[in-house]
This record gives sequence, structure tokens and C-alpha cells, in this order.
Amino acid sequence: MVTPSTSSSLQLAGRKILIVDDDRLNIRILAGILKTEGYVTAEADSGERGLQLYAEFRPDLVLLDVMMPGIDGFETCRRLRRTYGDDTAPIIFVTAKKDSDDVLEGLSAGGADYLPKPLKPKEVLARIRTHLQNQILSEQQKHLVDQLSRANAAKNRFLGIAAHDLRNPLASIRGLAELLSEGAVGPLTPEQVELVDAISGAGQSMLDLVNELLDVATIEAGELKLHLQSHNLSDLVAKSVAMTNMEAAKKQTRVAFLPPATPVTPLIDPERIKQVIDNLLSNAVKYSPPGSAITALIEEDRTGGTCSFSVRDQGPGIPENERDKLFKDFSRLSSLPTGGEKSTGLGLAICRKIVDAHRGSIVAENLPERGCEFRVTLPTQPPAARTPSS
Amino acid sequence: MPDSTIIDPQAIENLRALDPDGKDAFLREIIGVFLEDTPQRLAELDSTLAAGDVLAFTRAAHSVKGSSSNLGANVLRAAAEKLEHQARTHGLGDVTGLLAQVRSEYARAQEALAALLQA
Repeated sequence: MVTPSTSSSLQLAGRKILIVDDDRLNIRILAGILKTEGYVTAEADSGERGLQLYAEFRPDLVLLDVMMPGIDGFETCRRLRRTYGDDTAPIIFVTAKKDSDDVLEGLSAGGADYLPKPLKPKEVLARIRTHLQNQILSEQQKHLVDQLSRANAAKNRFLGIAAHDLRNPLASIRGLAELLSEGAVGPLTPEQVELVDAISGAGQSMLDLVNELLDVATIEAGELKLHLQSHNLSDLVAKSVAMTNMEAAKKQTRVAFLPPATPVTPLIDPERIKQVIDNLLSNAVKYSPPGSAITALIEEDRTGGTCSFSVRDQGPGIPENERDKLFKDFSRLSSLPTGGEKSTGLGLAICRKIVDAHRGSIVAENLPERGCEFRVTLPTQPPAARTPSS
Repeated sequence: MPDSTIIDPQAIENLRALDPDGKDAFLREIIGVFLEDTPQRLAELDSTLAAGDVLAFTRAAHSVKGSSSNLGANVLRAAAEKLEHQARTHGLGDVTGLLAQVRSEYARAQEALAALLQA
């Protein structure tokens, strides 16, 4: 891994500078100044020749006269920028023109700086030094970012592979534990049943984590593909509430669903949104004390073109100082699940990513008396697609 | 030493300083190029004026302005600047007076620089 040079005396001698000026006197003077610092120079006497020479010489910096017959300095600069984009060497205009309009035109043509005439050697060298140093730092930064991107991609690939490979053995554990507990290989004593259930539970926890890791890897790799369709949000929430209530009953907790007045059918990926709903409902049950009443509701904002579903729990709420951790990977807040349930810390992060991909938003707000409300807002279909209503 | 009202000694010093071994070779080269090129620019001013080519005329005046400033020939520089401005804003109708001024200032600068080369 390349570590950036922190020394301020970056090696500049030997760097290449292209001088473009139709007046040979200016070229001679500039070349003379530059050689004292050990720069290597190439000279062109016109904009056109400068463009040719740039391609061959690939300078680290260009000194460009503005007034030239043929294409002028600004045009030369524009063409270089068009051809080489962000990889263009820094361009410094050298000219006796110093109206601020000209300066503005030069800078908007893509120039980095202006050197006024008469040329003062110390000033010329100082400015060139600054721009070259910036250029070097910028190159180093690009290199580092590139390395980081590749490392990140490798990490995601590894995550994906590891998670994928773990699924099979985990499924086996669960399957075999089930066989045992069903008595398929002989009856079990109550103690044995307890142990087998524990194995099953641990296996399920691991499988959940593996699935979440796989999700994170997929989403981070930018491979989250949404299959959008117009879907009745109430249906989705109702089903999820029913499933959640089966588990919640074990804690005497109950989820009540308040559907909207009229059907709401946003453009969503139903499987992914269901994942979000499941997660929010499951969290609400986990973090509320036994015997709680949880509310799920759907609302529509016609004028705003959005709809939302919210889950209100009766847990301890979100501490102020932990708000910013809420939707980040692997963060766990200080509150604990109230029924001994497990938490991986990935669920909300994944929810956030799915909601972001739908161009929606997800927020959490503490309720005035107790508990917290998680609210997901999604864009509904664009107005043009709706049939005219009263 | 050249007359400092014609040639700014600081400009000469700047050029001299670029020769680390103190032999003035670079300075001499630069003065030489100036004394060769500027008469060419003056000839261009004449021909472009005759041809009515405002753009080329302005460019030639601009060039004299730039090179004279590098040599510290400030009076010449000022004259060339006036000439350039006149041509750019009002065309070639009224440039003869200013052109003559540029010529005479060049003559004085040339003398001063030639004297410098002799020294």
C-alpha cells in the first residue's frame, strides 16, 4: 500500500512543462527561468502546434500565451480540456492582458492561474511550484481512492462468498435438528428436546445473520436491483402484521393495523419493502415490554405525491445521543430486546438502503408519552399515471 | 548602465540572475532576440496598417508591449499599450501618431540596450 509522502519538498525537478507562445522572446525567457529549477521544457509557437506537442510530450504543466494568431490561448485551453478531461495538466495563462473579464474567461475555459507580464522569475517559479505540488497530491489521492475502492469491492465479494457458503451447512443444521426434534430417529427425552431446540435456535440466528450479511454485500456492491411494480401497500402490511402477531403472541404483545381510507398503491419492489416492514415490526415487538400494544398504520399525502407506513412501539424510545447511530451498519443501541431475542445490528441499515433505493426516506422519532415511531415515506406513482379523481 | 528611464535595471537584473555562472550569456541572448524580433514587429505594424488588418495590427502591437516589458523598456511598453488600445477600440483610422511614437521609443531602447551589450 502506497503511503502518501508527507514531506513538503516533493521532487519537482525533471517535471515537464510545455510553453506555448508565438513570440520567441517570451519562450526563451520562460525556458531560461524554468531551466534554473531543473524543469524539462518543450516549446510550441502556436495553439495548434501546442495541441500536437501536448499529445507527444505529455507535460505536467502548460504555460499558455493568450494572444496568438490562429486559435488563441483560451481556445487552446478549452480544446485540451475537452480532449483530456480531468487528466489535463494544470494550465497557466501568461499574458499582459489583465482585465478581470479576461481573467474570468481564462478561468472558465479551464485555466488554473494567470501569470502577468512582465515575467518575474521568482513569481513564475513559485506559482508553478504550487500548481505542480497540487497536481502531485491530486494524483496521489486518486491512486489511494482507487486502492480503497478495490479493497472495498474485494471485501464485498468476500462477504458475499462467505455468506453464501455458510448457508448450506446452516440449513443442514436446522434440517437435522428438526428431524431429531420430530422424533424421526427415535423418541427424545425432555432434556434432549431442550438441547435440540437450542441447537435449532442458534442455527436460525446464524442463518439470519448470514442472510443479512449477504444483503449488505449485495446492496453495497451496488447490485441491489429493484423490481418495481404497482402494489397495494395495505396488503403487504396486513400480511406482515399477521405473521408478526404469531410470534408476538408469545410475549402477549399485539400489533394492530390501521389501514388507509382509500387504497394506496405505490411503485415498489414488494419483496424488498416487505423486508423493511418485517424488520420494523419485528423490532417494535423486540424492544417493547411483554404485553405491549403496537400500531402499524398507512397514510397518504396526495398533494405531496407520497405515502408512508409507520410503526409505533411502546419501548424505551431512542436516546438522543444515539440517534445518529440508528441506521448505520452493525450499530447496536443501548436498549436491549425485552424477550431475550437476538439482534445483529444490520436490520435498520439494510432498511435504510432499500428505502434509499426507492428514493424514499426513513426516520425515527420518539413519541411524546413513551415509545418510538419509525416512519417510511415513499413516492407514489407520478401524477400523470394516476387516473383523474374527483 | 543604461539610462534607467528607458530601461528598468530591475528587469535586467532579473534576466541576469538566470545565469548562475554570472557570465551574462542568457541576458545577451535575450537582448539579442529582442533586437532582432522587434524590428520585424514594427515592419508587421506597417504592412498590416497598409492592408487594413486590424486584428493582425493589434496583435503586433500587443507583442511589442509584451516583449518590451520583459526587457524593462517601460516607456516603449506604455507607447505600445496605447497603440494596441487605440487599434482595438477605434480601428486603424488614427494610429499613425502613436505608431511613430512606438518607433522612436524603440530607437531609444535599442540604443540603450546596445550600449549595455558593449559594456
